[in-house]
Amino acid sequence: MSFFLNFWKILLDSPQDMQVVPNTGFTKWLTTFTAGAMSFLAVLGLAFSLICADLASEWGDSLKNSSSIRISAPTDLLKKQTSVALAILDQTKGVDSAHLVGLQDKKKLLEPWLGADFPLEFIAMPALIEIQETEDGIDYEGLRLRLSAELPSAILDNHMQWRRPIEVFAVLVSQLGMFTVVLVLLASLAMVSMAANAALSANIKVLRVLRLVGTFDAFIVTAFVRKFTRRVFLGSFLGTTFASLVLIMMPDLGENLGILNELSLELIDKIWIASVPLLFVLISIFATRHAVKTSLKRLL
Amino acid sequence: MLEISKVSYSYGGNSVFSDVSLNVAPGSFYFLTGPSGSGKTTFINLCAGALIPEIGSINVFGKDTQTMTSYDLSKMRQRLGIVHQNCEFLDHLSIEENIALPLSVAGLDSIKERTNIFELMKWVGLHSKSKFKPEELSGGERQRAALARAVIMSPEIILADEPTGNVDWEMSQRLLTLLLELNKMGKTIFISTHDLSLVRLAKSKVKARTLRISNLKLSQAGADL
Repeated sequence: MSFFLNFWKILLDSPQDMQVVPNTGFTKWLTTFTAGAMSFLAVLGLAFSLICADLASEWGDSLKNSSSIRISAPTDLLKKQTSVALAILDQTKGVDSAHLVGLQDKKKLLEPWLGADFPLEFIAMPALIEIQETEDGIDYEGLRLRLSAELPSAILDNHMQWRRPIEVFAVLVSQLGMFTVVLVLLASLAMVSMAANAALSANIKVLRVLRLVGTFDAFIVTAFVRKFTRRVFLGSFLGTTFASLVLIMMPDLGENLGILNELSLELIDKIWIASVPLLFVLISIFATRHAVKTSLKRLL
Repeated sequence: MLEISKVSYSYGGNSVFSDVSLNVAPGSFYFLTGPSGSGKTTFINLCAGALIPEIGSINVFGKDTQTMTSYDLSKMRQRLGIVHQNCEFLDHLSIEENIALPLSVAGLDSIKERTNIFELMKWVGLHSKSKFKPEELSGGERQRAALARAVIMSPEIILADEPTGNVDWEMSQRLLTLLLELNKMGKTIFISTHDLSLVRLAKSKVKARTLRISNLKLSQAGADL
């Protein structure tokens, strides 16, 4: 805790050693703007990557623990066949619960295609039984064989066919997002290094004067690192805040997206996003320190 | 205090000195003369640790500049006062802040030191221009400010490279008077100059030794100066 308090104190204070580094005109704002823009991109990339990772994980869980049975039969037989299917499921090992999807749930499922006011009750619809499995899962082949023998009109679907590609796609998007974030951070490192080198080239006289009066290298390095890190932190903080506002203001997707219902960030994801300015601070410290030390070595 | 032992130095194969030796005693006053390009500035830079001899060694305060770390070099420069011909300042700071810079970076910023800065500015005649920026000062004022900055840490040796190179004769005399005062306080003064009339004037007031760099060698200058 005291480390963080000291860190903020060092970063936000305006100590004597900062005065020796002049403000280099527009490059000051260029550094801040660049850090802000890169943080904005990093936050969005990170957010989408984390959301996709969550979705992939959630879909993976659903894949493992849910399945359904669809029964297509004439209306007069449908109720009886549904009861038979529920009875079979009751006897099947690995079934945690099974329930018949009601008319309202069916309406909700079909609403994106048919609209909210479609009179679904007047159409002969197949019965749909949703199965929640235990951790051990169901023996699909065994259940499928029993259903084909006792209830040929029932079709068991473990959702594998359509959920697996989506899950793979979500994992790929998540990995791509992470790769983008890494690229953004590396590009930021390069940009901060270039900005620091440009500022040092413009201030080579400052380094010469400081050396002349017997300033320790540690003092010079600290002065430049503080100055740059403050600019980078300010930009990164603004960029992260702006990106967070964009994420918060994203339109609510509602409940009708079915598999995309959980399109939101977990607490741990939010902590990751909040840490973006800190990552930029570390990048700034590393890049500026390296640039100043290299310049000082050249000066002797 | 300052021992130069068999030092040779060259720029890209062009020798500047060869086998130069000198032992500078505390409290002494030296002039280093020689034509332009003879190596006076190189000599000062070698003594200040800004250049490292190719052959031989330079011992400042008992330490060889060749083996000094950057920390040692900074420590040494805090005990050396260095004045260059083209005196450089931090342009975004006032002249007072520039003079106080060695104190600020050393973390010595007490009321006592603040008083010393004021006294020092009075001594060099710049107390009325303390808030001016370096670019607002004349050449002579900048030289005096550079001298004030060089002596604020009370150094034992003052190395001045052509301190009167860019100023008129009146200002040269004034700067020399300041340097003579410092020598009276026990400081070792080492001045490189091509202005022989300044050397003659100093010799009439203090026992100064004159060295001459020519033909790669450092020699005692003749009495005709």
